[in-house]
Amino acid sequence: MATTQISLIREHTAAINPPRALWVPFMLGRPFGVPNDAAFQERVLLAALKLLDAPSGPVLADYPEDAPATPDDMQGAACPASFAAAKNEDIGTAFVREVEELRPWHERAIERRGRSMVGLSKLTVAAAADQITRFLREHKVDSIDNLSAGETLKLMCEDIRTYYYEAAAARPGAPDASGIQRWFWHETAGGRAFLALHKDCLASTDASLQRLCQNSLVPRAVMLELPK
Amino acid sequence: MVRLADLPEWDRKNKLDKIKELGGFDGRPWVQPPPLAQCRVAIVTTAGVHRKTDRPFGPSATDYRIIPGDTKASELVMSHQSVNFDRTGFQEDYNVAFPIDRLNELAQRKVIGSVADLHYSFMGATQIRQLEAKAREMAALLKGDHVDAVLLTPI
Repeated sequence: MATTQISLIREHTAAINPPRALWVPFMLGRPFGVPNDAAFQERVLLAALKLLDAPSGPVLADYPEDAPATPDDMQGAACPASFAAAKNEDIGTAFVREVEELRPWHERAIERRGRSMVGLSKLTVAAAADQITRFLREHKVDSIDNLSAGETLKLMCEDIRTYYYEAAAARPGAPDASGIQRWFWHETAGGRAFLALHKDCLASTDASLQRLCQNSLVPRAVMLELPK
Repeated sequence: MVRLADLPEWDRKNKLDKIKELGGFDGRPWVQPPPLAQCRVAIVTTAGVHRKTDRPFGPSATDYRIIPGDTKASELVMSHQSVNFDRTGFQEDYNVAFPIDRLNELAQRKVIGSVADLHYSFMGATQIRQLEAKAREMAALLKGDHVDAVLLTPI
């Protein structure tokens, strides 16, 4: 059967050289450009599908339209919760408290979107935060479905991060993607708990925890911003 | 944007280093599908998307998850292993990575022939050649669904 595809990194697609591909100038994670913009998404989709009409190939076409710029402005805006006192608390205590403080914003996110992408671990976010806090204190975690410690923690961390991001996006004047990421990693106890977890995983001899901290816990961009 | 020239040096190098893993795909059969208005189209994504009831993807997963075309938005989640891409767009609107609503709209307007009953999702943070066995298995399933053309989408 015929294939056509979206390319996010042109150089990678050129190396693979598939029959038909449309390179798009959008950020990783958004191959169709803009959330909640059906017209924009349809233009991208149609451009990719129309490559199926090409009489010969390979074809690597460039999509001409950039995604609209978004204000990259989390700094100075009101955060979904105030964490002013968190720095004097134990990370785990602050983290668990913060999860609870974010609950109204997350409920608002669910009301607005009609859904939440939290749910990989099958735990409540509060229970997942308790488990991570316990791991930071005791280096123990209750396995989910007999998964390794690293895989179990990954599912919990995904749920927690999704919860924070969804809550952050629900507040008035929500920041863009990079603003939410900056907020999480630099201003929340959740971000500090994840960084502490990363440090513990790096020091562990458990291969599943080593794997977790390679590419699956803290973004490379965040790691490079941390003090050496 | 992902123009390499616009990326920080460390990120540009990281992405350029991956190119050496991507060459050597010599087989490139050219298949001419029916006209778009007659094409039955399926989506195959490497976004690590699946239903909440499915088993999440683990590290270096090489298998796939099936996403029925009538899956409700509230059932979709993502368990991709990499944290190095934006997730907020997908959380806001899954169509930004898995454009099933847009595809259905094109079918309703008869721009495409029809939408496949089943779509497929892999988790892209793995060795590309390790996916071949499951990709071949999936191709047979797509043929069984009378799919003419596949839209491949990354994350």
